[in-house]
Amino acid sequence: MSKRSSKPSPSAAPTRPVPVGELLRQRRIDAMGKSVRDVAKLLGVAPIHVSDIETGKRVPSEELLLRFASIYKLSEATLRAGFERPDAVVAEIASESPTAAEKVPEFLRTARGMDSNQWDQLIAEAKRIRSSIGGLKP
Amino acid sequence: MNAPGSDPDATSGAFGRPDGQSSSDSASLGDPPPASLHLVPLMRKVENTAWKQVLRCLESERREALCLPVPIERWVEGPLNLRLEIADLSHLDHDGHTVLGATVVSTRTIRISDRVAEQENRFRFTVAHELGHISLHAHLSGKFRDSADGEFLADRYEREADRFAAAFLVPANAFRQEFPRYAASCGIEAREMLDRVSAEDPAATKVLLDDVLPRLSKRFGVASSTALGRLRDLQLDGNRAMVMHRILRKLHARLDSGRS
Repeated sequence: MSKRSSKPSPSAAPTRPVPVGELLRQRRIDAMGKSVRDVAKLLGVAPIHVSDIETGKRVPSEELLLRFASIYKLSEATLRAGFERPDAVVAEIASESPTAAEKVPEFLRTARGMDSNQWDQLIAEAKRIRSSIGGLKP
Repeated sequence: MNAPGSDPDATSGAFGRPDGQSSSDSASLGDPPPASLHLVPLMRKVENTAWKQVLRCLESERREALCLPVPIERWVEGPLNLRLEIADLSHLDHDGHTVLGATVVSTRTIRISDRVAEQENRFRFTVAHELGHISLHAHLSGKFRDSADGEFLADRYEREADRFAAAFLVPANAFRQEFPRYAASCGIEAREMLDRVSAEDPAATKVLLDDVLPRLSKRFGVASSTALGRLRDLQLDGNRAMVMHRILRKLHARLDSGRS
């Protein structure tokens, strides 16, 4: 995965959500009352690493993302979305077979932008299809 | 962690040269510093500004009493509403000077070199030094460097930021309270200790350097040399200010060489 910068561009619309690094910073200061060096110790990384993540210069590894979620008491999904780092299972399923490699991206592109309700419907439909075939392991 | 430079309190950044305290002190050892005399009112202003910032933080957190060591990181990011970042500043090093801190006034951001992130006292002092620039010099950011006597002014601003840092981390009234307390706990009454140190009494000097200063250092979260600097700056021994000045310079040199 390539390194990306989540620096907000100056032309960004004012409605743009708070960058995830800034969210982490605010949470650290307001809710946790800890310094960068404090949380670096808790997370087991160098302070510059935490600072780089807060300023959008770096994206946490899979493992570090999970530690952020548990120490900062933030949902894993919020962090995954913010860092554009999907769960490993997405890559795993997408590369399971040639069919999956072709269909999963197409499926995801089609489903892009759906709200939570629509996703639930889609999941229900997928379950229905799967159970009608029968025998497919979850 | 290897720490370049010899002075734990030396910082530098957007406002120019690193603190020249160690180098200029050794260069002019024993010289009465006429320049510092006309700086006294200026330094009083620096002291006051630092104390105002401390008060602002205490009020914002609704605290009556000062907590020690001063929680500088929490205050900078909380009540003082600044951004504090730890970054690689090695690209700012110049002419053999190691840059430990930098300030971007427009975004209210203080950047501290990751090289000092693990050095408690040095990190704290560097943050306080940069806070000094923001509190004292923000309005003239970038101006003095272009003037003919930019070098002279830059030096002055670095000294003021250092003095601010010391005053912020070791507030005068707290030091006036703590120094006699620690001196007494080491078996010498404060006034007597200052008398004997002024007379270059080796035993009292040893107690000051080996016992009192390390305890003050821990109490305030600053280097021993910073605590020693407060002894000089606050002129606890007003009558013999110049004598103390000279002797403390010597002691500074001893602290510096002892640290290696």
